[in-house]
Formats: sequence, structure tokens, C-alpha cells
Amino acid sequence: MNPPKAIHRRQFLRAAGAFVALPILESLQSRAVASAAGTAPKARRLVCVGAELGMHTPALYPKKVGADYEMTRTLQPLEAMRGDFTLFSGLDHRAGGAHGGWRNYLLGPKLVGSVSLDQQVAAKIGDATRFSSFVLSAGGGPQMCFTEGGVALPAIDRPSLFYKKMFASDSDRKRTEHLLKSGRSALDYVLEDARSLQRRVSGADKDKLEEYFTSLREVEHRIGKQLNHANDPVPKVDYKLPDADPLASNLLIECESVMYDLIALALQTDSSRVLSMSLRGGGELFTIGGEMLRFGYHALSHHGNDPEKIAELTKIDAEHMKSFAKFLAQLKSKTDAEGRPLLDSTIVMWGTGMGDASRHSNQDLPIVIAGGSFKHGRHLNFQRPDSAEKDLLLGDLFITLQRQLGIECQGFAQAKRGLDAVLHV
Amino acid sequence: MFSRLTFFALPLLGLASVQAAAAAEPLPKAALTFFSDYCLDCHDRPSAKGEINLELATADWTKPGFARLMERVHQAVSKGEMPPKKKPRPPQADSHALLAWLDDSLVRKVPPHRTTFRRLSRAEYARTIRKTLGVNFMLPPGFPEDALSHGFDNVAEALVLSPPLLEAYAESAALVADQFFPPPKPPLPPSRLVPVTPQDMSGGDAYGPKNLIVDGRMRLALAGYHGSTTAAKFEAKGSGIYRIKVSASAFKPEAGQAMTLDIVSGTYPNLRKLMSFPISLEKAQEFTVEAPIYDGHSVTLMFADSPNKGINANFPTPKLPDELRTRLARYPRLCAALLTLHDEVAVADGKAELRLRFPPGVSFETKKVIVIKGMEEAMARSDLDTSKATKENIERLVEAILSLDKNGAIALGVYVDSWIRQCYSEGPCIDIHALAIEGPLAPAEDDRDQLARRLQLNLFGKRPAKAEDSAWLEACVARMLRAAYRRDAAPEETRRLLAQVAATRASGGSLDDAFHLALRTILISPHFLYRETADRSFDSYELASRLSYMLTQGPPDEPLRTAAADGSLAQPDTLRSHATRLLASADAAVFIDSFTSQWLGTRVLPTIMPDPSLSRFFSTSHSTGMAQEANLFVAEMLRDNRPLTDFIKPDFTHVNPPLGNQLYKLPDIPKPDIRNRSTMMRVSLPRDGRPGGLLGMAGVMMATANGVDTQPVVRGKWVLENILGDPPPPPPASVPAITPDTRGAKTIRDLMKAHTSEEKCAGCHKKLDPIGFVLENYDAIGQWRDVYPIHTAGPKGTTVIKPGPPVDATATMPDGTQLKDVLDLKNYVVAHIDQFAGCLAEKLFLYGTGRVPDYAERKSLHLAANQVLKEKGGFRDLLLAVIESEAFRTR
Repeated sequence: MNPPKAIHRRQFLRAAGAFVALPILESLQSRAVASAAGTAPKARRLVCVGAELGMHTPALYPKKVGADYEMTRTLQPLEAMRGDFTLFSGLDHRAGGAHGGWRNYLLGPKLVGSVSLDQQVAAKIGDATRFSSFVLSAGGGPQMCFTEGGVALPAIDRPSLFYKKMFASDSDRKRTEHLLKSGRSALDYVLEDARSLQRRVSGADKDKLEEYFTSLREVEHRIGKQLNHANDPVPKVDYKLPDADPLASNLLIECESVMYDLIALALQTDSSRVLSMSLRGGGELFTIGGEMLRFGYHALSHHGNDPEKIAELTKIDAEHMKSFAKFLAQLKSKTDAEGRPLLDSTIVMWGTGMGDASRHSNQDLPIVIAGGSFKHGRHLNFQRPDSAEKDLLLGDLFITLQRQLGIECQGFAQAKRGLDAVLHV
Repeated sequence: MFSRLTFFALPLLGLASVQAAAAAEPLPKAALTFFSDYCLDCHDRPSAKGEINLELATADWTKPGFARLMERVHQAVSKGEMPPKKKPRPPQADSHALLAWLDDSLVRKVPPHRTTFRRLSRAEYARTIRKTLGVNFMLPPGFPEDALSHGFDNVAEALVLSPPLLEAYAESAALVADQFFPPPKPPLPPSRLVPVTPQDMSGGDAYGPKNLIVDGRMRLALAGYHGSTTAAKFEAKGSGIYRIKVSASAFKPEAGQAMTLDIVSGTYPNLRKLMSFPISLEKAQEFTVEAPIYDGHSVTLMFADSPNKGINANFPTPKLPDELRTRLARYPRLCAALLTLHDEVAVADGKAELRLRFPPGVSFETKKVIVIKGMEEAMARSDLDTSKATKENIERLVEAILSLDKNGAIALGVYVDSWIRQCYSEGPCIDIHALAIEGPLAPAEDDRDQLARRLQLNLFGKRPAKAEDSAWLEACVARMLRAAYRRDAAPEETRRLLAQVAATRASGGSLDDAFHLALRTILISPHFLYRETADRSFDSYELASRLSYMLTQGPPDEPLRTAAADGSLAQPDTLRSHATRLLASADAAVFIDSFTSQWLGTRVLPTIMPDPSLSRFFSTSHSTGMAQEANLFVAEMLRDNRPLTDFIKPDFTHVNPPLGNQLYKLPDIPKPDIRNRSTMMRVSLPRDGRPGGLLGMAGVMMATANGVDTQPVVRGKWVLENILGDPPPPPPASVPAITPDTRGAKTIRDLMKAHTSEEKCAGCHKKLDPIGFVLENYDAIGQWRDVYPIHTAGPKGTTVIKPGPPVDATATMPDGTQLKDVLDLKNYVVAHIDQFAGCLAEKLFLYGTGRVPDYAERKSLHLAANQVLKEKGGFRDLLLAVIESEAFRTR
């Protein structure tokens, strides 16, 4: 397929069985962001995936670093994409441990009150699209995304719901519009209530009411923004959702795959540019290659160095990588409005807040970065004693990711340096 | 008998008689002279030691900062803390003159504090919605948190409103309105037939399979939902009647016993049984049922009466021993295999017990592997001696399993895994050969429709024949307002909402649409979200709300509303009788838990992760027990109206066996096992013992540490704030925190010395440190210790703990009292029980009114508390005295 050279008003793309009609706004918005940043950013989109149980790293990490690292059992499914991703070992946030520490992944070392990477990015580039960000989970994974003030964002865990939000039917959209409009009239109504109270109070009560008025104005503003987007054309897509949402716990990997397909659609239709998905690690008992495993996922993560359990755990890890590889392949074959492969303009991060689930350690978090027009194809280790970058943190990687997205970024938590030099050489 | 009228008779202490003071007045000569003679050496403008500047010419009592400064002066001089000991003492007459002027001015000239608009806290908001509208409502995930102020989450000042919060309120309001008036449903899709093979059915469990595909059939072994299977790739598209066909057979049924297959639908635990079928034949039979399945739900199949129950080791039930017995008797091979994993261990009286055999020092993870592997190997042996499965051995195994500790209990879950596997080959099981679901054949009313009908009937009553019945409409609107605003609506309010309803109708909306919007509107109104919004006059409705939210965390009930409406609540007797009534109701448990867990800090216990090397036995049973101990203790103090000294030196407490036996090491508390570990029991204590009372509670000690180290300053500060009512000001910003040194080279006391020798710190640390030092006998989980532990690195990354230097718990209080251990500290507080009583009265006041009492109110609260003590009253008397105080009954 030839990438289209010019941006047509309506462009039909065909990829992976999906027919997509692009909304007209797309290209204009892309340009708006580009010009605001001065020069066009190399990447425009960010996808963050986080796995509750991480990976069994001895089966993931190659022994060799650099470009000629050997393929490992867990990485095998990504072989064909070798030039499109980088594996990082040894990065973390130098944070305390335990299960609760998982959330460090996108937050940095401070768990309370921090804003997660995806929401920091959404605050900068999210306005351009109908949805400033999407927070998803397969199987009901751990909370991963936190907004201003450290409020956890609830995740959508039904693929059909995610689909419905993006590509709402006419009747759904009418209802949404009705709710927004009537919601606005409710605000007008209670504004009167507050005004009547204001007439008879003084001092500190006035401040309290001021909080109320400010909140009213802000919510009103948000509703206005949503109403503006309510009339945006909804892209018509031809994607066949499964008959039932794969919610049963043993269908986690299937759920994850459908979510990946929908994320690809979201990127392709420019419905959103910041998407995150957490993957659950509960008691799921998987059937892989037609064979039911002997133990549940979580039980396997506490393998106690039992080789049989480790073998099963590694199979699950490889399944995660298989669906991830399929996702990357989709992004590589699909193009954005400017005709670039989506993978070039999308940074995809697969990572975790758990370095070693068998002992609940959140040190040395395995991270894969794909796409985003970085230099790829290597295994980079940041804890080798001979490495000059010994003290680089996961936050340094996050700095560089943000810069690649055209966001001015001086630091992430305690990290101040960035990894630009490493990822661009 | 303690006389309640006394409190109403107390002088109002100037609350109502504040003079409109001129903005600033010159400082009287007595104060000027006192300050310049005894204070200005250190507290002049340039030095302003401790950030206190007394080089003043005028007094402006309307400025909150000035009033606070003068309160501190009053406190320091009245307690003799200032001028410092080494400086010349002022003559008593001079001090008295200064104090009299300060007291008079603080009471008369400082404008009274008032509670500002008080937003409902998270818990209050959710409870209000549930109670007033009768809906199911839980705060959705991501609902913004409330900030704490002065240790409580219901203080008006800190309950701010932010745009994300208002948005969350609006979204919740829509969810509530949707429960009353569900959104329109899309038309049902055409009926289709969905075949479900065993491969498309769910299975799985944290530690192993709960059902299994054998010979292409889904085999169900365990009883109930735990062993059920669900058609994982089917969901109803729209609520409707569906035809369910299932083909099932019996596998190794017990002789003469039919098995029951339940067809259910829904999400656990809200399952609806659609039909039960008896399964008795070993060849497949087909069963059909037509039943409603709700939108988005699937079909679940359960072996309802399997003799094998799932055993949840983390939540053992009283039935557990019998379930274990039955299972071991049914499967002699299982019993014999388990026996091979156990050793006989001699115990007292020449008896022997069975214990699981593990190599020494293996980790918990390895133990689980050993159990699973061991069971699998044993079960595979051909020479397994099933004759050992005797009644006696079964009893010994049951006892061994039941005495497992926490880790053992999880290992028990692993045993269960082995047992389930056994069921699959030995039966009895139900085999599912195939399942087919066809539909929707016809529309069906679902749970949302039923709920909506019920809610509408409750709130609006029966709909009249004519939809435009204006009297009914007005009544509906008034009822909505009354529910949400916790009072009768003003006519103007009813009129406005009626107008909104009419406007919705005029623009083409249905009556349901109009009510939907009306509900969404009033649930974001300031009249709903805030309480205590009346102006200076604090009407009976506001008082009813204040009382109700204090004692039940919810809106006033009907009797209270009636008392507010007819004005009788203004009568002291009525107020008291309602307070007593609410305290006796089941809802008061919410008050006990909310107040106690915040006052004593036990709310934070679940967030503290104690260092595992500190205590090998620590588990959530201990921290849960600590929180419950505090709650049950305070509940009993309240119920029995016990004297306030019992807060410090009681003769009872409540513990569960892990807490009582392992942590307090109390006599006569059974060894914890999985049967008893969450059972709270009341125990008598000697009044002169270490455990018991606020200064002997492990929960308090753990909450004032960080899970790893103790911090004497934190505990000292906690006691000053929450027991003695003498909180220190915040430390100067320039002070570095202490990094504890756990290598044992220095004790915390040595480290503190450097700190307290600095003069600017000494003022407060003189008060903080002695208390903290005395409490050093309690480690970070509240366990008694006589020596500090020394942690050193052992082989293979392990930690070795050795006894270190002894704990020195001696200290001197600022007034010269010598303390040698925590008993002396308890006695010190009992000797100063008036201070404790005043402090507790202030806390109750803060919790109830949502604000810190000002000087005049503090004075009146302390007077009331003293009166309770004088009349030998108890905790309930104190609480009622706070409720009856003038300040509680005014805004």
C-alpha cells in the first residue's frame, strides 16, 4: 500500500481488517500541536502498558547488551520487530517496596499526590483530540493512572464499553448530549442557590462559597468543551467486537488483545493520543497452546524457584509479548494522517511496577519502549558496574519520552537528566 | 448523680456578649511593663525567639493572629513555662494581673469562632444518599479524597470543594438519578442460538483449578459458586427471556444420591437461581429451562450440593473442622498422603502432636512448594498405607491443620488444591457435556427496572391516574427537596424546582426526564452538599443535622426532624434524649469507629507495613485486632459511662488471640490458630499492668511509629496533643529530622541529646522527650521490649537480630515529676485527669462541630469537663456535656 502523500478530506485506510473513515479535524489538530511546540515533535502519541506481575526477568533479559543481544525465551515473539523496540534493564525509581509500591511505575517514588506520566502528557497534548486520554485495564489490573492531586482514574475494563465511548451510536450520542445540556442547566439552577446563600453570609463562609462558584465555573467550562466535541464527526469503523466481553478471568490474554486492537483504532482515528492499560495478575488459570496450566497466574509468580512453575510463568510472559508484538505490527502497518506509520509517531511503553513479583520487589523494572522515532534495536542495561550511566533512573527515560512528544520537560520526580543521548544516537 | 442542668446554667462566658471592640487598642500598662521586664530580652522584634515577637504597642483582638499569640502567652505564663527557669521570676501579682487581662480580653473581645459552611465528608455524603433516597450507593472508584485537619476528616475548614470533586458529585448524582429512572434501553437484538463448548467455559482459582476439562467435559467437583463454571464467551445482549439447554451426567455419584445442578445468572454474590436439575444418570441427559437473563450477564453452572466444599483458608468458618473430617474420611488415600507429610512432635504430658515437616529455615514460598509437591508425590505412590486413615488419625490431622498459623493457613489453601485434584478422579462430580443458550426470545424486566419501580414508589408514592396532577407534582418535588436538604423546603424552593420540572416538560421531556434532572440538580445544590449554612441563627434543623452527623455520620432521622420542625429540640431535655437515643442505636457504631480511629490514629494501621524482621509473627490479624480493641474499648467506656480515669488505667480490654497471646502475652488467652484468630474477647486486666488504656494499647503505639523504628518525638507529640491537650507548636523549619541508627552504636536517646541541647529546641522537647522516652519500651508494633534489637546482616541476605542496649525509660516531666516507666506515666495522667478530660472534650467538640474551639469555648469545655469529674461522671456524661454546651448548640 502506498502511503497517501496529501491529506485528503476523507481518507480510507485499510489495515488489519478495519476500515476507517478519518474525521476531518485530525490533520488540522496535528498541525496545531506541532506549531505550538515550535518544531514538529517526532512523536505525537503515547501508549503505556503496565503488567501487575511484571515479567520473570531471568527469562526476559538477554545476557548481552547493545545491538547484538541474544533473543530470549520471553522476547522471542518480538523477534520480527527487533529493530522497532529497545529493552531496558536496571531502571527503577529507587522507591520502597511491597505490593502498594506497584503504582510507582508511572508515578515515581512518591505515591501520594503525584501525577502519573500519562496524565502529565495528557495535560499537555490531550486537548487536541475528542478524548484527552483513555485509562484501560484488562482483567481489572492495578490502579495506574493518577491525576492532579493524586486522584486515581477509574479504568475501563470492558472492551465493548471502550468501543462504545469512542464510536458511540447516534442514540448514545444524543443521550450524552442531552445529559451534558441538562447538566449545564442544573449548574445554572444551583448557581442561583449559591447566590441566594451568598447574599446572607460573610467572612469565611464567603470563601467556602467562592470555592463552590469556582468549581461551578470550571465544570461548566468542561461541559462546554465536551459539548464542542460532541458534534465532532464520529469515525465509522468496521471492527468486529467479540460477542461477549472477554471478562472471565481465564480470558485475560484475549481481553488484552481486543484492547490492543481498540487502542490501535483509537490512535488511527485520532480519537485519543494518550492511552494506558494495566494488566491484571490475579488467580487466572490459563490455557496456552491448548493446554491448561497447572497453577493460577498469581500462584506462578510466587514460584519459589520451582522450575516447573517458572516454565509455566514464562509461557504466560511470552503470551503477553505475543499480543504486544501483534499490536506493534498493527501500528507499523497502519499510517497516521500524514502518511507516517503509526508506530513512528507513537511511543509505546510496556512495563511494570514490579521488578520481581516472587518477592514483591520494585527494583529493576523491565521496560520495553517501541516506536516513537527513537533509535531502537538494543538491550540497554543501566546497572552494569562498567556503565557510565549507573545512576540513571526510570524517570530519566520518562523525561526523554516527554521531550520526544514535544513537551518541554526538565525533570520527572528526582530524575533530572533524561536519556536523550542514549535513545537518539 | 451527675446533674446535667449544671451545664445549661453555666455562664455563657461572653459568647453572646462580645462587644464590638474597636479595631486596635493600646496595650495596658501592666502588659507593657510585664513584656518589657520579662519577655523582650528574647522576644523583641529583632530576635523574636521561637518566632514570637512581643514588642507591641497595640492590641487588635479582631485579628486571629494576635489572639492566637496572646493565647500562647497566656498558656506559657500560666503554666510557669515562661519566663524560663534561669531568668528572673516576675512577682506573682504581676503575673496574675497579666493573666487576668489576657483572660478577660480573650473571652470578651475576640469574635467567637463559627463553623463555616461544612461540606459533607466522603463517608457522610455516601451515607446521606443511601439514607435519604434509599438507593444502593458506594463512592465510585476515583472519588476525590478529603483532607485531614487536626487529625479528623470532618473539619469544615479542610473540607474544600474543587472542580474535580464537583464533577464527581455531578456524576454520582446522575448515577443516583439513573437508579430511579433508568436510561432508555436499546431495542432487543434478534434471537440467536449460541452453543457453548466446555472449552468456552471458565475455570480457575488462585492456587489451582476449581474445575477441570476431563475427556472433553467440564467436570464440576466443588460445591457452590467456588466450584462453578460460567459460559465465558456469552453475554446477554439486552435483558430478556433466554432458552438454556444443558447436557450433563453424573460422574461416580455416591450410591443412591442424586446430585443437584443449579443454573444461575448474575455476578457474584448477586446470583439468581434460574432452575435446579437432579443429575443421577451416568449417561448424558439434556435439560432445558427458559428464564430471564439480564443485560450483560451470562449463565453459570454449579454443583449445588457437592459434599466437597471449597475451603477458604483465609476466612475459616465454624464448619471448617467438620468439613475437614468429612473430606478426610471420604478419601483414605488423601488422608494417608497427608500423614506422610507430618511428623510426630512430643508435647507436654507424654502426648504427641502432628506437625507439617519442613527443613529448618525454609521460606514461606518454599513451604508451599514442599506441600504441593509432597502431596502429589505421595498421592502417586502405589504403596500408600490407607489403613492409617483411622478415625483417630483423622482427628489428629484436623487438629494439626486447625492449629496452623497465618502462613500455615495459606498453606492449607494449597492442601485444598491437592484435594480438589483428588475429587476429579474419585468423584462425585457433575460433568457438563454441552450448553446452548438461545435468545432473547422475549423482553424481560430486569433488576434495574424492579429497583426503579421500588425507589419511585418509596419517594413519590403511587402515581395518580392523571400525570399532570399538580398537587401530586408539588408533593413529589417537596419530598425530593426534603430528602436532600434534610429539612422542609421553603415555598420558594419548591416553586423553583416545580418551574424546572415544567421547563423540562415544555421542551419535550417526559415526567421521568424532568424528575431525573430534578434529582441531579438538587444533589449538587449547596443545600445538599453543605450543612451548617444558616446565618448566625443556628436553627433547630442545623442542630439536628449537627447531632445526627456527629453520632451517626448520617442525616437526621424522622424523630429528629420532627423535633427540629416543632422546635422542641431547643429544649435541653429533648436534645439530650435524642443524643442518648442515637448513642443507643446501631448507627452509633459508625461514630465510635470514626471518632476512635481518628483520635487514636488506628485508622492508619492498615497502611503501616511492619518490617518483617521485626516480628516474625506479625499479621493483619494483629493490626485488625488493634483497631477493634480501640473501638470496643471506647464503645464500652461509652456504654457503661465509665470514669475518665479508666481511659488510662482500666481493668479491662478486648483482644483477639494473636494480639492477646503473642503481642501482649496475657495469661489465659488461647494460642492463635485459624479458628480463633479474628475472634475478639473481653479480658480483665490489673489496673497497674502494662497493657490496657490509651498508653498501653499496641494500636496507639504502632500508629505513632512507622513500622520499622520508634520515634520518641512523634509519640511525645501524640500524647501531648491527644491525652494532655497541650500540643506543641510546629518545629522551626530549619530543624533536620533524625536518621535513626539501627546498628546499635547509639540509642535514640543519645541521638536526641544533640538535638535538645540546642536552646531553641529545648522549650518544646522538654515536654516531648520525657513522654517519648518512657514509651520507648514499646517497639514499632507496640510490643514490650526491655532492650533494643540490633539488626545485622546474616548469611544469604537474611537479617540477624541480637539484643542490644537496654531501653532506658526513665524521664523527668517539665514539672519535675520523675518517671521510671509507663506505669508512672499512666499515674501522672491520672493525677492530671482534668487535663485529659478537657482534652477529650475538645476532641469531641472538634469532631462534632467541625472546628477548633476558641479560647472562650475551650474554657467553657474545660469547666464542663471538670464538672463531670467533680460529680464523678463518666465518658457518656462528658460527651453529653459537650453536646449540651452553648458552643455546640450555636454555630
